[in-house]
Amino acid sequence: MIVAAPLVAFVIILLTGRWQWQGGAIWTIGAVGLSFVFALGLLIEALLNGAVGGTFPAQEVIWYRWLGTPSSGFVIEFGILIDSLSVVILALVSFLSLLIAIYSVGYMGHEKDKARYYSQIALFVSGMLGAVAANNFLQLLIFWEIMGLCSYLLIGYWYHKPEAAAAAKKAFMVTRVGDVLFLVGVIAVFVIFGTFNILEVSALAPGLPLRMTLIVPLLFFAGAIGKSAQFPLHAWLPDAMEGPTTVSALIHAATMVNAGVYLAARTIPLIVTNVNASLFIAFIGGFTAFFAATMALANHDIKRVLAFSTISQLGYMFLGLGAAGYALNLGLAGAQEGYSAAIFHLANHSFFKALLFLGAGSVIHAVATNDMRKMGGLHKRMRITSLAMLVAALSIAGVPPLSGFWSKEGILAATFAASAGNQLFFWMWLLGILTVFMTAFYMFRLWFMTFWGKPRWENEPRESPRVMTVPLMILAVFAVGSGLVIFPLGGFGNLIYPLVAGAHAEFTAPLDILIRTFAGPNSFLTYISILGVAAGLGWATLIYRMGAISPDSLTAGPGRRALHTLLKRRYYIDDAYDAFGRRFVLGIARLSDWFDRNIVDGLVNLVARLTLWAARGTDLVDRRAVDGVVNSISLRTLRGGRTLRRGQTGQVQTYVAVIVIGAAIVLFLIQIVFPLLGVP
Amino acid sequence: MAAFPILGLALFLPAVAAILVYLFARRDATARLGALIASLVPLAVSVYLLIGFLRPDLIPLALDPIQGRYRAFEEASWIPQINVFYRLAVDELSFSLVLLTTILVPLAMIYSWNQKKRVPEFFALLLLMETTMLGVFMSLDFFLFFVFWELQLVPMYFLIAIWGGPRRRYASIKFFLFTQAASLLVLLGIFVFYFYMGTGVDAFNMIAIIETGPIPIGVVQDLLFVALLIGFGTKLPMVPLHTWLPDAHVEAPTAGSVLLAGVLLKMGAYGLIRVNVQMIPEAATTLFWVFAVIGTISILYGAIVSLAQDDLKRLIANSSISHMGIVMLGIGASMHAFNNGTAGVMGISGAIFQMFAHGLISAALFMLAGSVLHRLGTRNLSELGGIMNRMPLLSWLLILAFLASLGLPGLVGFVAEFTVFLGTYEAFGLWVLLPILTVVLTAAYYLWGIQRAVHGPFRESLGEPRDIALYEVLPLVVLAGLFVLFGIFPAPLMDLFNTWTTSFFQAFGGI
Repeated sequence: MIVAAPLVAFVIILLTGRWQWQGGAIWTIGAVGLSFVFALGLLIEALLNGAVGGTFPAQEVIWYRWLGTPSSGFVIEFGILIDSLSVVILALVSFLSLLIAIYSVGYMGHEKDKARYYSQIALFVSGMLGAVAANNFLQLLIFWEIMGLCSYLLIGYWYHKPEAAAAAKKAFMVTRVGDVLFLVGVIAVFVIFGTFNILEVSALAPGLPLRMTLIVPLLFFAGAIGKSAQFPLHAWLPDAMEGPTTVSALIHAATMVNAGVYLAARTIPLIVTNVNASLFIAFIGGFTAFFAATMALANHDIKRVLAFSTISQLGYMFLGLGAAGYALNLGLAGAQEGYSAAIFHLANHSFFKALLFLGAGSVIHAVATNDMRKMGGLHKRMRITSLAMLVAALSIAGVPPLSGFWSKEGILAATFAASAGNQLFFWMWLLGILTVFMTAFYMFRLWFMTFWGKPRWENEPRESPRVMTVPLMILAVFAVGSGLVIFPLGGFGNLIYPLVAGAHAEFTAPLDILIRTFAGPNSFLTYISILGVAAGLGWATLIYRMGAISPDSLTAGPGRRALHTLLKRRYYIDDAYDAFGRRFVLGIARLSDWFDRNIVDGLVNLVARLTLWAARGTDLVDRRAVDGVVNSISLRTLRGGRTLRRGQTGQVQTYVAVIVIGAAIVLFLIQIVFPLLGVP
Repeated sequence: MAAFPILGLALFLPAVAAILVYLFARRDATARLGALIASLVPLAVSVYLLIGFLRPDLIPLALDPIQGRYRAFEEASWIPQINVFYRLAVDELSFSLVLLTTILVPLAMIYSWNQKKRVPEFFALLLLMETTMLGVFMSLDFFLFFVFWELQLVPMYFLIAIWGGPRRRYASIKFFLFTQAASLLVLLGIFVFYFYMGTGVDAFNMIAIIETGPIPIGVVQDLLFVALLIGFGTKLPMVPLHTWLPDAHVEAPTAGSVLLAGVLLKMGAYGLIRVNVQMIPEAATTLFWVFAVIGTISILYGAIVSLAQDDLKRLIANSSISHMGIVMLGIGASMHAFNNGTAGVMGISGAIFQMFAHGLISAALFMLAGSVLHRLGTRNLSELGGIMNRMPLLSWLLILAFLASLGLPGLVGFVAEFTVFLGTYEAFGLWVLLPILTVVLTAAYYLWGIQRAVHGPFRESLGEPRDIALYEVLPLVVLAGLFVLFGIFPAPLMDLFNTWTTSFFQAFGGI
């Protein structure tokens, strides 16, 4: 029902949306709302049935048999898997999608082709819900790709813009590289375990053959890298900003990128089978968090800054998952909570990132540009948007007690704890702290550049209508408060604990959480990170609010300018991909095409020409040898043919010639080759 | 009650109708309508058979006397002197292709509704094509099989040569010569079977050949295997015997392309499975690598060459080479899995599904390419641009067909590719990473195609095109519906193919 409602809305809008109010927006909103109601019901049910404490049992509902027969041992049954992980994400996704859909009514109000927009949004949401609720990896993959399709279509919503068309293609292509590896992973799992069912695979995972323990989790992780835009498949996400801002919000907060994290969380039973797999995931996460944050420093496009920040924040989540996997493998204490901290961060990030994007949308709606250099001083004009963005910025920067603080702390604490097993985790923790500093800096750079300082806009901006600001206010409440659920849940490990044998959930009293965070033996970690936030915030204030340091001084000097250019060009990775595609792959393609037309086909034509000469020879012999009567009859037939069918004269002779040659070859075979082979 | 010869009805009614249409249809409208109605009869038979396959309790079909696996069996002596029989029956393998043919022919006719040139002949030839194609799939007598195999060239040749594009003469001759030469090898193979079965007995009986497996294992089987591989593989087409295909497609009229890609290519694949795999299975298992290697090369080579194409139809034709390579890979995977001692069902089942899926998808693709040329005057991607702005219906259908062809999960192509890759992994392990690269390449050339032709600002040099008309939309929507239907509910069809593959391996393993 959760999945089906938006799917039905998609079909309805597809067929009739053109003639409805706002292109059938009401169907999308209604359907997603319905999904949310059901998902919320499930969540409450889970909470009442012992989800806190980790005793909520996983349940499966089978829909129908997709492929395979029971007798052949090859069965794929589609259905739904409900456990504490999927319940949380379902509720989260449907809630955010609902807010975004409502906001769209205002934001997309002036667009022409709204039926297309709303139908694809509905399909997108059902893709995400379907992927999260899937009971088997193949179904997950199918909905995963439906999401990929919708992101393609929605990023290319303004298809007449060449940049949008290019960005859409890029998004699909880059994620597809990951998807293919994911597909191989799914196939490998099936061949090893004989099932696609997630619960069965999870149960069998410890029996993964040793030589597959590294490759299988990493194949799955490749899918997550693509969808969640981690290094080195991160290139599509900043370009994906060519779509409407609401689509960006949907991709960044509710669907798409969260799916990658979900997949990694889902496959944790496979990941823990190998220490190096966990290490790799943590490393990619930690590195991406840092790497993307650096690129966010040097961008002037408000949406691109947010896109880089998403990549960076998702990196944190993978860092947490990797640390948890590592700890689970070695039985380390204290780091397992990275798992639930990562999911927790996923939820918090979704709230404040949706808020940031919708806020940015509100700004873009008002000033009609993405360029922060053309904004400034908007605070007085758009108080609600400005304050909502401030809340979100504080939250993402990790200022206590806003939501971002709690989950980010959890991840960093888990990473630090994992360094007991491997020094690398210490360096990744350090990267994480540096990222905290940079995050605070670039977020406040964004906020100050947009809302303070001298007005640099050309038209007269106005606050957005209610239908847009009310979702902002709701989200602001969550961005402040969603971190606090940690207290009633009794710590991270309780609602969502890793689905691995040996993982356990402990209830920590609220006071103990506070003590652990601020006064425990490891509380110095908390203070270091708060220091990082303060430094980033302070520096941004000095430069962009007080004007104490000129922003230009940051790019003064050849070294700094080179660094700035490097960041601005995104480390030239996009250019390298582009060159690889354009020069290398297309070059090979052109070369192959030339080879095909000239060498392969040239040979064919040569053979044909030789045959034609032979045919002419045979034809001559034929005319002289064959008796005149037959000849004249055949000629007459040919002429008859000519009058009947103008247009293919001459070819009939070839036909005749070929058949004659053919007969000769057959005779040759029967007379000479067959006896040699001993054919009777 | 002797069973009514429903296969015979489906087979010959189009031929009879073709003659009637050609001789008596004075007005174009009569010819069109008559031909369409005649082509609906085989479709009805197909549906009847489908029910018979899925629910044998509802419609019991006559079974063959030797193996009891071939249904709707009918037989009559034809040329008793050399033991030639008229013998028709279908099993799951051939039925899938009969179903495909009977679906595509009426759709191709509807699509050709506004054909202006020599209408009665055109539709008569389409009907004749249907008879010959169905004949190839239904015949279980080698002589009859070869008669249809050869006859099928004739209507196709004329379709290209009369209604084709500017280089039609070159293309039609090339098509004819290539397939004719390949046919010779097939004929040679048939003789080998005939002589080893022993003259005087029912030596053309394909069921009997499958049952007895007359060819001695070793050099003879291997040589025969290679000859037949070249013979059937040319039709498939496999690299490097593929160059007739892009030319034939580029010059063929749309309905011709639809049937060429949709059905004719499957005749090659059908031959490979029916003859190479079923009749000389020992050679097919020892030479599994030939299937796998040529399949993989075709897959990648076809995809890479597609990437360099400017003509939309050439692009689709090359992608057909790539997609038919998947069929070969699937067969090879199954044969090797059998070597390894596993059931190996997935490879061949996936290959059969791929034949069916590609038939539907390529039909839609060629119709769309035809509409692009018809409405816009060019098929060159570099001359197109932004057609979504003026022709949204065409554009969306094109995108949908592209997505189906690039194997988007949820559509029919994915089921086939996925199953084949599954079988490939089972047989060859991580080598699957090589052919699976095509998934990325295919996405690349299609999406790039969309970017160049469909998206972007409208190119004013294309004039003021009108969106596609009802007679074009109708068959495309039917096909699109089938993509989704079989993508979401593939089990009934795949069950049939699994049954076929399982019983084949049981029979083979039992030898």
